[in-house]
Amino acid sequence: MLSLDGMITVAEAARRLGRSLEQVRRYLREGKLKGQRIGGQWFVEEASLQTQGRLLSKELIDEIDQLREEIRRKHGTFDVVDLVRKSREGH
Amino acid sequence: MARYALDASFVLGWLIPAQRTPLIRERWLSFAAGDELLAPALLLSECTSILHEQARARAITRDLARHLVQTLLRLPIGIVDRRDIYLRAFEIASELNWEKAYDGVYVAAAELEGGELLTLDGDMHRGALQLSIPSTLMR
Repeated sequence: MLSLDGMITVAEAARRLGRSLEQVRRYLREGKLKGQRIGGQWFVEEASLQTQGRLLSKELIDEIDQLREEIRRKHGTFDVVDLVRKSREGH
Repeated sequence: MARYALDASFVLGWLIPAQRTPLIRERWLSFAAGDELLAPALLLSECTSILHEQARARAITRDLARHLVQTLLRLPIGIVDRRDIYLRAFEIASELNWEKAYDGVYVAAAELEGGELLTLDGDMHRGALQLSIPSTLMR
């Protein structure tokens, strides 16, 4: 039995992603968004919006978050603009 | 689909803990499939050198710094490989009376590639705007 629980329309997915209807349909065809075709109409898995359609993979985001948190715990925070400026001093 | 030109502060501000990391992280996560991230080769040189300097100063362990360099190289950033960037960077630095031309390289990459500059550096941001180059200051 088909269920629309957790599914949203292509129009709603497009609105949330800030993309056109055609772009969302393309993401579905390319597998970048998960969804189902029901009665000739595409529906998008709402959960897939969290990670799919993004440029960056969830794995890379999670890895960077963990790495940054480890640095924060061990070494604190940094002023990155200052790091860039100081690195150029004397050049 | 949009095109963005990144500078070293925008990349490092995500990889290592910085004052504005939550804001920068949100920006990184907002990039959608099809968006293009671009940077001059200088980005990789500067980030690598800064991480080495921080490891050498024992501000970050060597292992973590090395891991950061590996992660930097996995980011989906297209490296702009065109020689006219450097002449334009020279002109930009002269026009804006900047002491060095490093910032000019990033601004030139944004201009020549038609991307919006993303930076944490207020001076670079204001310089880009003076030249009517789209720029967002992350603060």
